[in-house]
Amino acid sequence: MGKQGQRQVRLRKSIKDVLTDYLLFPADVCKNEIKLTVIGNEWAWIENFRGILEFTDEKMTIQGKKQLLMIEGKRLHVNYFTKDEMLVRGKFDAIRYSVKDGKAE
Amino acid sequence: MKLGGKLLIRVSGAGKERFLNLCAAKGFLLQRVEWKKNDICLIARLNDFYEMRPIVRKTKVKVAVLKRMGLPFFMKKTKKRWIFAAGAILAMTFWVCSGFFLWKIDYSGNIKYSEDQLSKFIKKEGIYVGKEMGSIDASQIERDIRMAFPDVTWVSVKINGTIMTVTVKENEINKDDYSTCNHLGMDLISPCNGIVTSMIVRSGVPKVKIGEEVSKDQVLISGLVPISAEDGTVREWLETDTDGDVIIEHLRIAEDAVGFHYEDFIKTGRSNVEYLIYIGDGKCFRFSKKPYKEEIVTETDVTPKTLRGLQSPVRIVKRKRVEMMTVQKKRSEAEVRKLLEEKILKFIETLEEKGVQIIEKNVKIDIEGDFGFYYGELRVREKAELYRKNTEGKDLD
Repeated sequence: MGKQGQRQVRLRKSIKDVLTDYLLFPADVCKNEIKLTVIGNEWAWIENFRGILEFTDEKMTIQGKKQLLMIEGKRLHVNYFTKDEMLVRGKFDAIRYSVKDGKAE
Repeated sequence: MKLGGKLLIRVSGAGKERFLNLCAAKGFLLQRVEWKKNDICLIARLNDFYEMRPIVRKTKVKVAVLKRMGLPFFMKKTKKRWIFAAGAILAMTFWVCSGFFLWKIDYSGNIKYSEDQLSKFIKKEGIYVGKEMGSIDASQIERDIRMAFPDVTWVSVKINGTIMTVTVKENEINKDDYSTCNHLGMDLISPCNGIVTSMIVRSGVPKVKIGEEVSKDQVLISGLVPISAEDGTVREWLETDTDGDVIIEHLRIAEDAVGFHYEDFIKTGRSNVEYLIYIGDGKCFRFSKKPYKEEIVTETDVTPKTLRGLQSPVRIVKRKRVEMMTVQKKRSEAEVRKLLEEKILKFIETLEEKGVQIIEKNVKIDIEGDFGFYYGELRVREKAELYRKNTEGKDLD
């Protein structure tokens, strides 16, 4: 990527930050980040994901645009799964993100 | 029941996660995605399942159907049991159709006019059990009832489901009742021969004194009050509402007998049960059994609760016949005496319930031949409560 390209990326980033920080646009829409809603340690609604990378009853790895979301726990299962949304249930022990240079690890 | 049909499938192979992602991307709904022994089990819609074939080939997974759920599979199963399905459809049709007809007419609030009178009138007006609900005009029935029964002051006809409820309110003040409740112009008379022990006159003219001996039917309080003229003669008789308490002491005879030999009605141990099916107003199918020579018959309504709740015209009655036998038996003397004692106590209890005060009792139990009996006299104090129309005034007129 040349100098001009880097400048354009920086400019695009700053516009998204402005929209979310100052104009209070929803971050999940503007930045296209994973949206995670957790109730206690048993329910988790996940939106804006790309797909499931790994799925067992103890660990789930979900791919987002820029990061990976990892849910660890026991008796993990997906109650429903569509292209827009999924509901993960089970006993969660940990929820972690993995990010490297703006790209998923 | 899932109307569209669903399948529980097991996905095995290396590309399970890819299979899930591609399915979701295609817009398939995946439910209850669970990890089971290195495989993934999930529920997919039947229509989606047919479209999964290219994804299965692409991801090189193996898919096995574990369970079929929903109406399409249920229908396939019931194809073999068509009689059951036909019965279910017939039953449904029956329930739906029976809802269009009137199956019960209830009456409430009626005292003077009997249920029979009201039902006969309503039948005459063209409303009967089994009539189509749409042709019933409740307000017209209300108007007709008010016109036909003058003592009905208020009437409501309510149709609730397949039941019609007729609620009436009658005029409580009735002229006839008023005259029977009051003793206008009547005399209080003595019910027996005896002595007056107490007397309170609230209304009327007393004709006896305390301590006076009275005979049966003698007037105790007269219901006609004489209005005297200036010269002392009776100008007119005023009818009054006679009221008073007069207690008469008299002797009351108590006697009864109990035989040593008696007939007892006992069970032979044999019984049978028959079922009767009533449809509408009395058409009856009967699965009958032979009646016994001597029997006790009991009938119970065994219509299923679902039928009763819907007020259907079908009623099933269970009739139980128990065979009985008459046996000649003999009581011992002790039994006869005990029975007589019980009878005396019951007689006294009955008197006390009526408000009769027992002062003295002298009753003997005796056995003679095939009978045991008790005989005696009770000295009692009893309130006079008999009234009779006064004729004294008319005589003088």
